Amino acid sequence: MDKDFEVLAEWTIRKLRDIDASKAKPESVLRWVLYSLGVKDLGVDIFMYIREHGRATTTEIADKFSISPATARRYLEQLHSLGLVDYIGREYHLAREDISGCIRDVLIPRIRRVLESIARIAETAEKKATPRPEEYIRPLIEEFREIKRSLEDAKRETLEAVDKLFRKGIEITPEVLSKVLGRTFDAIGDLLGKLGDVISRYEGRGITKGLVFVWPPRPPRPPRPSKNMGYVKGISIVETGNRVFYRIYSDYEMDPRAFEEARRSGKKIVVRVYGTLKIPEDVGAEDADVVEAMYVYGTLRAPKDFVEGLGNKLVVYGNVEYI
Amino acid sequence: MGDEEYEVLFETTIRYVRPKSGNIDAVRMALFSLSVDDVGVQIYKYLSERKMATPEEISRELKLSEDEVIARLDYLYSLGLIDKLGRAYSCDASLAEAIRRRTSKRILGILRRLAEMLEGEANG
Repeated sequence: MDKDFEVLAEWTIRKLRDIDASKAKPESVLRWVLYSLGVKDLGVDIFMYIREHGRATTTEIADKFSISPATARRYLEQLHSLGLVDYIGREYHLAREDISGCIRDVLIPRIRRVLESIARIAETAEKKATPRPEEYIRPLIEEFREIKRSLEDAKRETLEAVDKLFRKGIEITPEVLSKVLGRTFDAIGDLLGKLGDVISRYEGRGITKGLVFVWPPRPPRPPRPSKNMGYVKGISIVETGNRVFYRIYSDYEMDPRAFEEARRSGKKIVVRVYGTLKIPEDVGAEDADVVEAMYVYGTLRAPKDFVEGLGNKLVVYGNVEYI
Repeated sequence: MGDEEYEVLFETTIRYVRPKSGNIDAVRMALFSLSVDDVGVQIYKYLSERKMATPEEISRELKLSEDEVIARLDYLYSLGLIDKLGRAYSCDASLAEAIRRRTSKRILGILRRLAEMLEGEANG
C-alpha cells in the first residue's frame, strides 16, 4: 500500500497494562508513558539525556549514543512529532518541562486534527456515493421552474382563447369550453409526463423514494414562546455565517449531531442554558472543540471528558454532574 | 530497560499521509492512515457492503484464512470502526462518523490517561 501513499508523519499509540503509579518511581512512570507513545529504548534514553542536559544537538546525540546522525535525527523527529521536544537550528530542547502539558496541549490537539482530516478523507468517498443536496436540488428546482412556466403559459393561452371567443361573440357553451380546456388538459398531460421523467431521472440518486420526495433535513425551528407567564420555556437557535447560537429556557438535552454538524460546517457553537443541560454520553472531548462558549445557569450533566475538553469555555452558575 | 517489561493490550499507528497520485480510493487512504492493511481494507469494504457478517463467511467469501480475518476484525473493532454482536461483526456507521465518534474518543482517551498518569491523578 505504501506505493500509493506518502507517510508524512506517524504516531504509534499503545494501550499498556497499567502500572501502579503510586508505587512506581517518577522515572518509571515517564518511561511507561514514553513507551505508550511508541518511543522505544534508545528514543527514551535520548529524551532522558535532553531532559537532563536541557538541550543537545544531533551530532552530540549521535556521539553520545554511538549512532549515525541520521539515526539520531530520526529519533529526535519522533520526539518532535510527539510534541515532547522542539528545536532551534540544530539544537533540540524540551518543548515544556511538564510532559503531561505536552500531551494535553500539543499531542492531543495534533492527533485530533489528524483524525479529523482522516474522517474528512473518508467523507469524500461517502459524498461521491451520495450527491450533496445542492448538487441534485439545484437542477431539480430549475426543472420544476420550467414546468411551472409551462403551466402558466397553458393557463394564459386558455384565458386568451376564452377571451377571443367572447370578443367574437361566440356563445361559450359547455362544448366550446370543453374544446378549449381539452387543449389545456393535453398540455397538463404533457407536463405530468415530463414530471414523471424528472422523477425517474432522480430516482436512485437518494432523492426520491417512489413518488415521495426526501428533502434534506431542515434545521429545527424554535418553538413559539409560551403564553403562560412566569419564565418563558423554549429554545432559540440562531445560525450565522460562522456560529450557531443556542439560547435555551428549559431543561434540554443536546443532540450529538449538533456538534458534528457544526464541525462539518466549520461553525462554532455558543450555548446559553437557563435550566438543566444534558450532554449525551457519547459526546466526548473532541466535540468540545466546536464549542466557543457554554453558559449554564442551572445544572450541567455531561461526560467528564467533554467537561474537561471545554476548559475555561464553560461557565456554570450551578452544579456539574458527570455521567 | 527492555520493552518486554510492558504488556501491550492494544497498539495502533496514526499516519498523516498524502497520496502519490491524484486518483485515490478515499476509503483505502483513510484506513491506511489508521494503519489498516490491504487485507483489512478488503474486509472492511466487504462488511460495509453486507452490513453484517461472521468471520467464517468473510473467510469463505474473500478466500482468506480465518485467523487472518479475525486479526483484522479485532483491530477494526478496537479502533471502533465496526461493531460486534455475538459471532457477527457489523458495520452500520459511515467510516467518517465512526472515526469522529469512536476512534477519536478511544485514541484521545488513551492519551489523556497518559497525561493523568504523569500528573499523578491516576493515584486516586
